[in-house]
Amino acid sequence: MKRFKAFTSSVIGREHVRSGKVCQDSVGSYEDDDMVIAVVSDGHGSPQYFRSDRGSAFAVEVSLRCVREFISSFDLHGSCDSSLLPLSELDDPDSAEQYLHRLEESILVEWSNMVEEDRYKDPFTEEDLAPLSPKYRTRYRGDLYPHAYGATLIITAATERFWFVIQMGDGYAVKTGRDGSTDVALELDPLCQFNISTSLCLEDAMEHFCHVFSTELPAALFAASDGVDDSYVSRELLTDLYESIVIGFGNGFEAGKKKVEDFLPVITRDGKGDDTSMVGIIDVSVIEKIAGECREKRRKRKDAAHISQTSDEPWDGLSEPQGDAADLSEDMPEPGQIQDGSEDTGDGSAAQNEDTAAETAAEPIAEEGDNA
Amino acid sequence: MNTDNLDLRINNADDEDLPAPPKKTMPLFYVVDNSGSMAGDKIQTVNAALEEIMGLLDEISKSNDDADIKIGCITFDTSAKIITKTPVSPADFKYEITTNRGLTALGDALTKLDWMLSRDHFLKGDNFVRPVIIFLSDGAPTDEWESKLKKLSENNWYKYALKFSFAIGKDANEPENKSILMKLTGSKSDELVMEVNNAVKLREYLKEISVVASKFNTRSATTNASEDPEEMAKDVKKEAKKNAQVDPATTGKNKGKDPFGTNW
Repeated sequence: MKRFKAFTSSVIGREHVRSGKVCQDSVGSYEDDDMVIAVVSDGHGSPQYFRSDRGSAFAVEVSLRCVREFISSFDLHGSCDSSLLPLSELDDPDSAEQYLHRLEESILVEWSNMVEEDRYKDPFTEEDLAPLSPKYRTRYRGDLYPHAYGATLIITAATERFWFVIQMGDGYAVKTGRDGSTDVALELDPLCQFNISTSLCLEDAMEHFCHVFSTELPAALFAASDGVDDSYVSRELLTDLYESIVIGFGNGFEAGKKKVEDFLPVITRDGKGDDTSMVGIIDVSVIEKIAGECREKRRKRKDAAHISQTSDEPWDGLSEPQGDAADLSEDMPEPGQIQDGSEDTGDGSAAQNEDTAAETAAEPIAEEGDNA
Repeated sequence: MNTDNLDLRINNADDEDLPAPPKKTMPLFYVVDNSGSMAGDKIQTVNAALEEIMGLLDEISKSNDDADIKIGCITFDTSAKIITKTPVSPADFKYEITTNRGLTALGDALTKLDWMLSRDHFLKGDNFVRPVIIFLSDGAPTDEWESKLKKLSENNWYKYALKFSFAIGKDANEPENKSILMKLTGSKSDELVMEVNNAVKLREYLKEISVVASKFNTRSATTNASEDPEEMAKDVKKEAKKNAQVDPATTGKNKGKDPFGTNW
């Protein structure tokens, strides 16, 4: 594939090193003349997910295989080969939706098969189960043993005609468009908050896949485990990071890749301390131009920030002098008013998603748990 | 939208540099009853304790590579007031809480706390970790608080926070009032309610809870984020009680008794 190139990079977390844990992230990529695929999977950190490093490795392996087969099943070159599906099948959004759904099913089935086979070849021992709570010991002696392999998954894939991202669990996929704009490609499942994540190991995992599909090709796609986005918790900080990475790729693919590889250890050292992994797909035919546009945007932001810092407006760190009450902002609820979060917080939808709890069913959620 | 962190980093960094992860911030909230009954010795003790605490927290913040500590404060009498519109460093928190002959609008305080616990309001911009929230009250609320607490309990920042309540004086320690303070901690037991009936206990426990919780929580910003907040809070309380200088007399005619009396 001439236009797109993939990179992968992964470092063990500072806290994992400290506690003697293995790296539970896995990454992988595939490239040929027709497609580029890059995948990242993050095994859950709590003690009950004691084979999540294997779970994440299985997830990457089956994803690369299934996505390769999926893309290869389409007639990408208009050859009219009747054994191939016409590309027009993906023009209709509902049809594309169904195809992606089937792809997700195949990934889940093959992952479950690999887990079952692994457990058959290497059964859980009493030593494996001893540190666990009675609840988990019972589960793992029964049918819920896949939980021990629990992992998240983000797949990015691109061809000359379309691209898509498939996601299960936390971590963020980020897209830079050909207009130079950088933003999250997929919003997180609302059930993924704080250290709680959906997972491949859940009984209703199929309900929790998310995806995006488009025929408007990107300049770059990135996906990272939550070791990255938990260290850059706001949308602005995260997109700033990825914009900087795009600028780095403007100096050449290898230079950009090296910059990422050199930087991931900084993230785990100075940030959350978790395993930190990033994969990406770069359109090398346009990235230099896009990087230039991103650089220009940052310069303009820098100039604007400099002007605002030197203005007369004081920074209000403490609202009032001693003894007096603070002024309240205009949208602050008055005494006695019952607050409707969607009304009173201005940007109601963002606040609602981040700050109000999702509905939790009895057992659908995997706790990522201790990342140390 | 507070973009101070973002803009400073753009200003200072080479265009070619990738932005380093920002240092985390641990928000520590004090929700303080300043109704009429808190007047005099009680509120003076709170103010004196907070002044001492801010000095200690400043040291912890400066010596900690993982996280800074920032303060949020709400007082509540006939209505609740947000004292700190934006997160304040301990060194900059120089607020003297006063009392009027006011009532005890806990419900309004909970509403305002819910509003603050949002990335769109108080918690915007910085890399915030789970908060520590300390409630202080000496009596029964006089407004409707249950529905406000129910709403607040849906806020994940509140849900995952380490929460403590201080029952100040005899009235607060009546079973009905203590039960309310217990509910504020999110616990089904009153283990996270500190009973304080004199100035020394209030000062010592408030100081130790603030300091120990801050140390635990800034450390756990990277290691123990998954731990159950209630269990963590209980560990904090255990450590804080060990450190507080309020032991009963061990000898003499007052052996076993509270040496500081039960003034309140």
